[in-house]
Amino acid sequence: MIRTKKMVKTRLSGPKHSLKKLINELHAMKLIHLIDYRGEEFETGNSFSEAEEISEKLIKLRAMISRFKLNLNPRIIKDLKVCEQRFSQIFSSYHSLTAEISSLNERKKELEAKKGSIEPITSLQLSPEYFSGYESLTVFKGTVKKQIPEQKISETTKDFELFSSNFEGKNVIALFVPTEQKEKIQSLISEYGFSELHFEEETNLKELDSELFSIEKQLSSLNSKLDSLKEKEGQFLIDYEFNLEKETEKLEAPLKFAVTENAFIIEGWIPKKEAKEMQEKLNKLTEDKIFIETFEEKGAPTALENPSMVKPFEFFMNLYSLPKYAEIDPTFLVFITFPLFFGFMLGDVGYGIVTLIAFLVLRKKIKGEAKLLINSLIVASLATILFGFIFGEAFGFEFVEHPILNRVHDLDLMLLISIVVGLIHITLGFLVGFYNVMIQHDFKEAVFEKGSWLVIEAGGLLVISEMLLSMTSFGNILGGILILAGIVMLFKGEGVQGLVELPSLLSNTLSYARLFAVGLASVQLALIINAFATDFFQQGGIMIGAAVLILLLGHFVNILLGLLGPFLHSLRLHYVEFFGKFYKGGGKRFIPFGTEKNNA
Amino acid sequence: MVELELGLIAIGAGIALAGSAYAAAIAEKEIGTAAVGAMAEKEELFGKGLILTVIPETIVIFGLVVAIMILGLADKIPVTG
Repeated sequence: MIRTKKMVKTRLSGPKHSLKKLINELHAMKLIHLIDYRGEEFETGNSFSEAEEISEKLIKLRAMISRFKLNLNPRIIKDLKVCEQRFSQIFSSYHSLTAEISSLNERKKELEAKKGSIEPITSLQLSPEYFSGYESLTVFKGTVKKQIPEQKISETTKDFELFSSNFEGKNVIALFVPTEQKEKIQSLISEYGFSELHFEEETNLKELDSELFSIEKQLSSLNSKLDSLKEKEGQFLIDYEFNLEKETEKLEAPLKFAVTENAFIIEGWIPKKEAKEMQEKLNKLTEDKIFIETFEEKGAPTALENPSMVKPFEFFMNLYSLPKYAEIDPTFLVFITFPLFFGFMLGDVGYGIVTLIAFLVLRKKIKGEAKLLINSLIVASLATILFGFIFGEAFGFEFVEHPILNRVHDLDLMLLISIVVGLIHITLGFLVGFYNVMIQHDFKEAVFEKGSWLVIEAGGLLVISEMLLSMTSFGNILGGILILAGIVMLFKGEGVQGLVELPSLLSNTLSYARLFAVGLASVQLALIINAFATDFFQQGGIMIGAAVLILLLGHFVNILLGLLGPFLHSLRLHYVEFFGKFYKGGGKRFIPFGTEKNNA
Repeated sequence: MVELELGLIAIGAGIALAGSAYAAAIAEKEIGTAAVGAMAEKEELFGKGLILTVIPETIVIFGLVVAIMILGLADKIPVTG
């Protein structure tokens, strides 16, 4: 619980012909975290020959899945061989359908372009044959941005005929001029933003429309065929892709191994507990053809191991950084203090119950990593209810006349409690740090690196208590000596860097004042909401409705703020003040071969 | 004139809190921008970014402690007439 799962390194070597069987077994066991071979003595292996065929299939599958926009949960398929026939049938019908659809779409675009150029011209009410077959006449047909005044044209030539109309907000013209004036007219009309419309004279608008209509009909029938294919085979495609992907994982595994002409070497990490069982199983499977060694080594990956109650709080470790293998896993400590801090800040029976219900409902709907977060917040909500009883508060109302602690009035006491809690938490951090250094290095280093802080802390406490209470005459002197001794030890342990961090002891402790400050802000807001609503209630009549609205809206907003504030501040106290005392982090995650990457 | 003295104490406490909150806001703005930028490059940095961003928050807490100490002065005003 406090330590990460114990790992041992294992090395499997044997003849190549048993490799495939071995990989299948390792994949099914989901126990070994494979290490890529990076040495120079051997070559790395090649993926098995089937890998290529499967990745081709995967490309086809993924194309279909993305076109169908499938979003289903995959299931395990036992026998992949049976699926091959079905898959190739699906793909061939998919392929022919999509090919037909795209060729129809192309034809449709072509027709629409034609229609787009011929339609404006028909609005001129001129027969198509008028536009061609002249010897001495040139026709400009197209659209202009501004109307061309006839007198402008007559400045160039008197012999002209201009037809114009309006089609969907565009000015359409057909201008007939003598061919010898062609260039001059061309430059004139280009000033008016002329753009030519091309079309073939024999095109018939009616024919176009009827062809478009039939294409539309064919397209919709093809699309409905595609839809029914999706309905029928969608789940199969998802399943098949999922299982093939696993298959490739196996087929490509040799890329991580060292191989010679006839033998292979696999290296990886396995949990120490399961090492023996795995060894026996593999020996039996390969009839003792492979050689298995296990040994301890540095650099093992991290697998957190916590009871199910504590497990949700692993979320905070994932968010921050996983502990290194040899480090202490602080999840359990976070499990104890995070809900307490959260509850102390929010501390309201009503808010606690509302958030508890909200999270219990949410828990059913959410999957994956976020579920851990919700579960940890459920524990935090329970703590909120507990502190609500201690403070005697529900939705800001004091429902107990003399609660154990009144956080609105006992400000000084609340501040004192916060600081004392901070001191305890920080001391706990140093103690964990002490243990951490001790198991990683030795006792002496732990004393200088972390013990020094404890000595300084003790000295500081002595001086402060002497100043406040003046019980003895030597408290100041003793405290001063302790602080000095601690500073010397710290300098020996951590050098100048340690000395620079000295003031942080004070600032970190004061930082715990937020424990009561955040709560005070929350409860004051609740009081304001309640006072406001009470005013409206007293006015009676319709105002009662307004009062209810204020209560609902106000407390809703305050609960949202009350979740965000205490969550972030509690998290911060752990990450900055607490973890700063001992935590290194940066561990590699233990991902056993055979577990899906997105589930890890 | 007890009221004036009380008022001055309240204003003093207010300034202590407002000043420290403003300072923390400036500091967090700068760090937050950089942290979001870093996160866009590498999403795993969320935890580290969050920590760095909230470090200046302690400034407000100091302001709050000072404000409470100033408010404590109110008890020391002798009640005259």
